[in-house]
Amino acid sequence: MDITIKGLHFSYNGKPVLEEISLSIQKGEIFAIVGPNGSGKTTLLKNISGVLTPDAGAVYLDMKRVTDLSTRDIARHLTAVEQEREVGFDFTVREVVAMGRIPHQGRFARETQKDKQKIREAMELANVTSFANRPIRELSGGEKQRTFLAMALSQEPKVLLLDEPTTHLDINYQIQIMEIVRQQTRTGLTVLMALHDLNLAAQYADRVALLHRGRLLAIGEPKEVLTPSNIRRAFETDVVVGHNPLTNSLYINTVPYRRKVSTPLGKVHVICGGGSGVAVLHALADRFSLSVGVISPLDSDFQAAQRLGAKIVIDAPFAPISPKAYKENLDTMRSSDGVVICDTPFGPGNLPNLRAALELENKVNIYVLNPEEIEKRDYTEGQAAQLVRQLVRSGAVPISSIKELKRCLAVDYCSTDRGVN
Amino acid sequence: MRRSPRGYRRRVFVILLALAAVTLVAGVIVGPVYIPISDAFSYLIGRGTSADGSPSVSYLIISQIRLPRVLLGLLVGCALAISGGTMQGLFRNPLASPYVLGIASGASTGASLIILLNLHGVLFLSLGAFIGGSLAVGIVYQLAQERDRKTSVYTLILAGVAVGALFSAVTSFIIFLSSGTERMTDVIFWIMGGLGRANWTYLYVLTPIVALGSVILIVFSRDLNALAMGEEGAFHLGINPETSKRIMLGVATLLTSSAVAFAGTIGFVGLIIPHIMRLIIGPDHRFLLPATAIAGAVFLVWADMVARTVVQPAELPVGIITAFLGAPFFLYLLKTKKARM
Repeated sequence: MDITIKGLHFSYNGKPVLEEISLSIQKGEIFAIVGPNGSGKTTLLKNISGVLTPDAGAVYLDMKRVTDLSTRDIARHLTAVEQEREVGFDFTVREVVAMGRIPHQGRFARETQKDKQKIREAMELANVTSFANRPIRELSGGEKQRTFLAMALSQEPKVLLLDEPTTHLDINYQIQIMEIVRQQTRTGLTVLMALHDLNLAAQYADRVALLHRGRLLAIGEPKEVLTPSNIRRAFETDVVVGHNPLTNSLYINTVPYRRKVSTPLGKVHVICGGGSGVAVLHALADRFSLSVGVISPLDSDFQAAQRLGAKIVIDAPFAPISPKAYKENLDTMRSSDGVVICDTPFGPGNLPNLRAALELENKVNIYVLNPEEIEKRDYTEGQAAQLVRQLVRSGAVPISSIKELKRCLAVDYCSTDRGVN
Repeated sequence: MRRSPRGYRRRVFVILLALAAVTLVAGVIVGPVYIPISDAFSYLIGRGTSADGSPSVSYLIISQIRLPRVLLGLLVGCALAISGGTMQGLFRNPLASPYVLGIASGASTGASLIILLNLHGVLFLSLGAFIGGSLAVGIVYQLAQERDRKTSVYTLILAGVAVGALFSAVTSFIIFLSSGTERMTDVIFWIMGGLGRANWTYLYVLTPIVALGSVILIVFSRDLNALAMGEEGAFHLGINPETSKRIMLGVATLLTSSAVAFAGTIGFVGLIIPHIMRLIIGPDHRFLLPATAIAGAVFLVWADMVARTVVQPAELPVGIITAFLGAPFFLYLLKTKKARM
C-alpha cells in the first residue's frame, strides 16, 4: 500500500509542529524519518495513522484519505506500535498477540482457524513463542517490543508504522527487530518508522526523510540525505560519514566538540601508521598543532589525523614512499618543534620515515615510544631496529607511555631552555 | 499458572451459575423466621398457597420480604460489580471502583436532602439519590473535557476525588443540621447502605436497567481489552477510544447510580469482586465482566444474609459485612496468588 502525504500542516496549541510536509512512500519500502528530538517525527506518524487530524493537507493510503476512513477500516490496513506502550493488567503474550485480530473479528467471534494460524505465524516471526504464556508485564524491554511487533503482524497490516522501535533495546534486539521488519517488506508490507539512530536508518531504510523543526530538510536514499552538511543543519553537530564495508551501508560518527587551540605550545610531527597514532594524536591535539606523515589515505591514523585537523603528508597506499613525499615529510619535520615516533610496525614501505627522522641530526627533539620493543614491530630484518637504536643513541628521548609523552612535551615547550634533554 | 483455557473458564461459569441458584434459595430460607426448604421451593416454582387455599405465613414472608430483598441484592451486587470491573478496565487501574467519579458522595447528598426535607413516597429517596449521583458525575465529566472533546482519565480521577469531597462536605452539613433527630440516624444508615427497603416497585424499576446495562457493557467488553493497550493502542486495533469510553462510562454510571439509589452506598463489592474474578478467570474482559456480574450478585446476597442474622433481631448495615468479608479474602488472594497491582 502506498502512502501519500500532501501539504500537511499540524499545530498543537497554536504552535506549528509540522509544516508543508509532502512525501510519498511506495509499497514494500522501508522509510525512515530521522531528526532531532522535538522535530515532529512522532507527530508526523500520528497524523499518518489517523490518531491526529492534520490542520491542512491530507494523508492518503493508496487513493483514500485517512480521515475519511473509519477507525476500523484504518486498522484493517494500517497499524502502529507507538513508543513506550504500557499494558494494563496481566495479559499473556498470546492474549496480546491475539488482540491483533480484533479488526478482523466480530465482537464475540471465537478465533477461527485463520486467526489461530496468523497468531501462530506472527509469534514465530517475532520469536516470542517460547514465552507465549507469560504475562507481558513480566517481560524485558526487548521481549515486550517483540510481542508488540507480533501483535502488529498478526493484524496483517499493509502499512506498519513504528515509533522508535529500538529505543532502550540492546543492539542484538535492535538488529532482530529490524531484520524481522525487513523480511516482512518482501511480502509487500510498507514500513514507516521514526528513528533517532542514524546508523540504523542508514543500514535498513530504503529511503530517509530528515525532519528539522517540523519541516522536511531532505528526502532520498540514505547516502543523499545523511550528509555531514544536512546532519549539521538538523542536529547542530559535526559528523563524519563513512562507509561500513561489513554492511555496505553508511556509518555516521559524531565528532566530539573540541576547543580550538588558541595558541598552540608548538608544532609536533607524528610518525605513525596502522592505528598506532590514534591515541597519541588525540592526546596532543588540544595543545599542539600537529602534522602526520608519510601516511596513506587508507590508514586508520589518516582518519584520526584528518578529524583532528592535522597537516598530513600523503602518499599512495601499497607502494613505497615516493621521493617527493619523503622530501615533503622531511621539510615538515624540520619546521617542527618536536617529532614523535609512535610504536608503529615498520616494514619496507614506511621505513623511509625512520630514515628521515635520522636525517634531522637531532636538530629537532625526537621522542620514541617504546624503543626497546622495536624488534617485535620490525618487519625489515633488523633495519628498523637498527635505525631506532641509532636515533636513541644520538639523543632521541625514549618514552614508555602517552602520559609520559604529554608530560615531557609540556615540560619541554613550557620552559624556555629547550633541548636540555 | 494463570492460563485460562476454554474448559477452565466454562467450569468457572458453571460453578458461578450453580452458586447463584443456591443463593436464591438460601436467601429465601435464611432469616429470623425459619422457612422450610420445601416452602421456599414451592413458592419459587409458583405454587405458594397452603393446603386450604389461603396464603400461608411463609408465603407472605417470602413474597413480601425475603424474595424482594434477595432479588434486590442480586441486582445491586451485579450492577456494582460489573460497573467496578468496567471502571477498572477503563482506568486501567485495579484500584478503581464504581464510586471513583463521585457517584457515592453525590447520591448520599441527594438522599440526605430528601430525608432532611422529610419527603415521603416509595421512589422519592431513590430519585434524590439518583439525581445527586448523576449530578456529581456530570460535573466531573464536564471538568475532564479537554480540547477536541477528548477526556483525560487522569483528570477524571482527580476531578472525581475533588467533587466527591465537596459533596461529602454537603452531606456532613446535612447530618449536622439534623443532629439529634431520627433523621440523622436515617441519613447515616442510608449512607452505610442496605437492602432493607426492598420492595417490588424497586425491582420493577431496577431490573430492566441492570439487565440492559449489563448486556451493553458485556457487548463492549472487547473494547476494554483493546484499551488495555492504551488509547492509541486501542485506536490502532480499530477501536475508537473516545466512543467506547463515553458509552461505557455512561452505562457504568447509570448502573451504579441506580443501584445506589435503591440500596445506598454499599462499598467494596465494586472494588473487590472484579479484582477477585480477575485473579480467577484472567484479565480478558469478555469473560471477566459476565463472571464479575454473577459473582457480585451472589456475594451481596450472602453478605446480606450475614447482616440480617448475625445480631438478631437487629440488622447490621450490609456495607460493614461486605468490607469485613471482602477485604480479608482479597488480602488472602493477593498474598497467595502474588497478584500484581
